Amino acid sequence: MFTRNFYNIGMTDKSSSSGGCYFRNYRGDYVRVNSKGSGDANKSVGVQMNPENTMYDYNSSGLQKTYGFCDIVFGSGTNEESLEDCTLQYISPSGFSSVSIGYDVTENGEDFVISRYKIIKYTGSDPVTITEIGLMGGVGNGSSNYYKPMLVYRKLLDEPIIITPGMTFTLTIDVGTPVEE
Amino acid sequence: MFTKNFYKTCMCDVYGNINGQLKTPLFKTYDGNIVRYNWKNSQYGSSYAIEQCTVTPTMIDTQYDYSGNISAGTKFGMDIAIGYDDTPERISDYSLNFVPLSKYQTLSLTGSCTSEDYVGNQRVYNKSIKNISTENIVVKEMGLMMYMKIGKPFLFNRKVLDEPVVLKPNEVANFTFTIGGVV
Repeated sequence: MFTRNFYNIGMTDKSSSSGGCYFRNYRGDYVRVNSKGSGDANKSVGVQMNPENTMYDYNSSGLQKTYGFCDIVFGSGTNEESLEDCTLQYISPSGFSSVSIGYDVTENGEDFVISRYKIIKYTGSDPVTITEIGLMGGVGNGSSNYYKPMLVYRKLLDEPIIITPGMTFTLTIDVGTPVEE
Repeated sequence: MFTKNFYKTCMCDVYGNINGQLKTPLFKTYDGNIVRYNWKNSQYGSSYAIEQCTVTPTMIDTQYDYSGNISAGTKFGMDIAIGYDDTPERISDYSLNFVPLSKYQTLSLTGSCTSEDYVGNQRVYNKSIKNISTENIVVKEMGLMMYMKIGKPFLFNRKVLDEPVVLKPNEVANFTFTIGGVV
């Protein structure tokens, strides 16, 4: 489900400093986005189409990326999905490598679905169980080039995926316009 | 209630692709047209259209007649529209049964960011109008409209009033539209 970070993208003024908003980055820290800073700071919150074709260690506290960041992440947490989710129980990227990334867009009238995917190979020595995946966007402080990933979508898998050594697998996250209830 | 257009502003890749190669969300404008905004509009130099696809305290300083045909604009900001209908709010709302501009005059229009809180962020908009017609105006709905400097405005949020506001000829009323704390 979408997290509060996602909705706060829509509540942030990207054109001036008069309507900032707070976000929570991938560590759970609060970050104020003052959208109109210098240079490209006015693009300091959002989600690109393509996930990063790299494996990052979200257990590291020093992860910094450029604006418009996007990545598909995975973890071993089992908590129910919540609007307040801002982190996963991140699995170490050791032994994992990104093979390819991409996205597809399906449109139907005004509605659309963006399907992002990341193909990953595992060459570690022990099986790993994935129970949750997430979509990361980018959030930064408009007064500096200080950007960190933020979780905009988290999905608790219906069935855990057991990754065995030598296995190549695909993680997919589909997001789109909401349907009428 | 936030409309689908709101969710599209959340999904916009604000870094974007200035060559227009990436798909951008399709928005539904106030008149029912489905449009795709370009990421970058060279008419505005270094401005990216998508930067304008955003909630802002900035207000439109021109009066528009939503009951008519609004030309593709060059303005950026928000406006409050008023309408006659009280049909239940739906996420697929894109229009109101607009009160024609010939019936009222906008006296003031203001917007402010009242909270940047992670949970309780809030924007408050006010519009004061005067009934310049010879008949009562019964307002049952409000719409928060967004202008992106290019193209036509779209409905960002629609609210059915708890009680209709009746403006007699020459009467003045103030409409407040508050958004935030989305879910």
